[in-house]
Amino acid sequence: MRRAHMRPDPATVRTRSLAISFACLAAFSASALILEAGLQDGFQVWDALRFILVLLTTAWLAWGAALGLTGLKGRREAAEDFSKAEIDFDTAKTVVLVPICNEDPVATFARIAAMDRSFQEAALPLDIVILSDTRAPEGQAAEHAAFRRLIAETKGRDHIYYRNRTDNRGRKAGNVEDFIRTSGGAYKYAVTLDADSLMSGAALRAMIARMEADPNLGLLQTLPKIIGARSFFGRAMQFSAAFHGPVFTRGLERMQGATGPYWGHNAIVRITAFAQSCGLPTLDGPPPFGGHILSHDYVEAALLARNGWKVQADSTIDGSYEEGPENIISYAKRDRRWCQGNLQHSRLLLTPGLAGWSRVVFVQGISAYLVSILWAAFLITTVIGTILAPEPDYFPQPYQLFPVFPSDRSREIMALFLGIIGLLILPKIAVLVGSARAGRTADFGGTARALGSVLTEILMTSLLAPVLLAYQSRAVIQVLSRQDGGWPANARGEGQLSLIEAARPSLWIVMIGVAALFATWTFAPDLMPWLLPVTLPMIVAPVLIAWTSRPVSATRFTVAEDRVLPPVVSEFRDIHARWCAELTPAPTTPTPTGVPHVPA
Amino acid sequence: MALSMGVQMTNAHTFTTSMEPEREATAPDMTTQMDSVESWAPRAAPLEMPCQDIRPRARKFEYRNLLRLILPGQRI
Repeated sequence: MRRAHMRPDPATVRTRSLAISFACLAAFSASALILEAGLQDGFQVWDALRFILVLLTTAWLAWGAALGLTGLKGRREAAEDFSKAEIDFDTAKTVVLVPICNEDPVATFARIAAMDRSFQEAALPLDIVILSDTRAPEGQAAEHAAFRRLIAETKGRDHIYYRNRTDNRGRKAGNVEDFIRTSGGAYKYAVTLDADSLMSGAALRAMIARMEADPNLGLLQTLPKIIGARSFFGRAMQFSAAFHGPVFTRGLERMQGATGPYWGHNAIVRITAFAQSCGLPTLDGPPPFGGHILSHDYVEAALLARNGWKVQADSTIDGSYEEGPENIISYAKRDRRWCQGNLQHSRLLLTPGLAGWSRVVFVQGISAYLVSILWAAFLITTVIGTILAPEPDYFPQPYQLFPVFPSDRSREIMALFLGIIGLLILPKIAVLVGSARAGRTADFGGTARALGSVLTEILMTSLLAPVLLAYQSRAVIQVLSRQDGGWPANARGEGQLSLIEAARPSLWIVMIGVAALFATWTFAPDLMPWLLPVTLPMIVAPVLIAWTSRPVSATRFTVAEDRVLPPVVSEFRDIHARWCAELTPAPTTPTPTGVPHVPA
Repeated sequence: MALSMGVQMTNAHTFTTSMEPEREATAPDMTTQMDSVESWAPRAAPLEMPCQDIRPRARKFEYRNLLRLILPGQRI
């Protein structure tokens, strides 16, 4: 077994050094400003705390900005087009794996039918295997019926397979592992998908050709585009992913080099590399930190790199799609799972033999969640520090004739505030300018419309930031207090929420917002203008959640797929509509409520 | 796609019955082949997938080594 991870090339080292320097510079500048302002009334413990908190949070923001700015520069040479490459499928036998658990079988299997047609059109002789972990008998029955329909639709009995696992050990990672142990020897490559993934034949041809061209490439990750969003929130996310996503992913490619990301789906793996590197053990102790590794994809990428395999992302491969959450509640539920998975990676930081950058990626994933707690702590220390600040001493010297007024540091605080906003907005504006110059905005309804979409998205994310911060902070506290959130199945297709439906899961945020506003008003009224942008969105959280879940027309947040629907997506919609129309309502059958929990 | 999980489960039973006639109409020869769910599984081709060692190695801190490093040639 190979045990030496690849050394990063000089360009990757240069990019990483620049990004780290930028983040450190921004962080130290911001924390120096806050320290200088805080020391005007003498040193307090709150000043030291705020210094550390601003240092860490600004470093995180600057790191995100560096990722975007790194990806701004276009590729030096046009990416080689592999979508029409010749492949010898006698040696490059490939299987498409669709692990599912309590998913909507009609939609999932309709996607498979659409993809199968696209594969046939691209002359790809691929096998497709549905790996079901569904345990409920009625769920299994629905899948069996849908599979029969799929086979009838595709005539694919010779290359489309279905198996249901009786032992759900290891969840999705265990499901794929089980396939590799029992049937992996028949294939050279496996394309891993999610239940909501859609990939075109051309995309798969390009991925297989890239794997064939580089025998050291262990895993290739595509950048899936979000499709099918209908709500304000969903379409804003879809636009942001399509408009900013490729630039940020290009930055990620340059930063990570051969130690790239794996997001668990819409990727291709070399089966021998995966089999020799990615057998995941169970961690000692109970969940959330012990048990099965939840966010297995990051770990698998790190283990492949540990064994000397290249792991790369390629944002130029077209024809890779997925769906996204349609409202903030679905988004927060997904985030809770990811939070637990990422914090669990703290157990793996000292895994022997990992590439240094793989450890950085783990730290990055953990920081993405801990930073919410740090922001909340910064706000709390600011209010407490202001309340407990000593009265200014205008006559510090005995027999002093004239009073000494503390110098006004409002300008420094404003500079800090604008700097932080700049770190958040600058990369997005830079992407907009770069896209307008390159003519890329035409895909997004023209420059004016793209500008409108970018500004609206920034406004929406700014308004929602305190609400998302509250959800994320709660998730971190739950995990740190050892509460296992499990790994519930995705509730896909959840749509519009009424005000009542939005209020139920957000009432606690409203209460915290009201209490914070009251405390600020009573004890630190000077801070009101600074804290209103945080407390007001919290107080109106149910309105924001309900309002952003409303469906909007396709003219809002326009993306390229609104103008020309990709054939595989169009095919899926036709098949899905046809299959749904063939159904007859069954009003007497009780509807299960709640999201089913996937057993460990 | 927009159907909720609950609706999917509800429709599952009717789906089975409503799909049967079409299945027979479009692919009558498949009825016997498709009877057993086990027969839908991919063919067996076992591959070894060893469990990876990811436990941090407990390294005992040896203070003498540190002293030897700082004070070479002192027979520590």
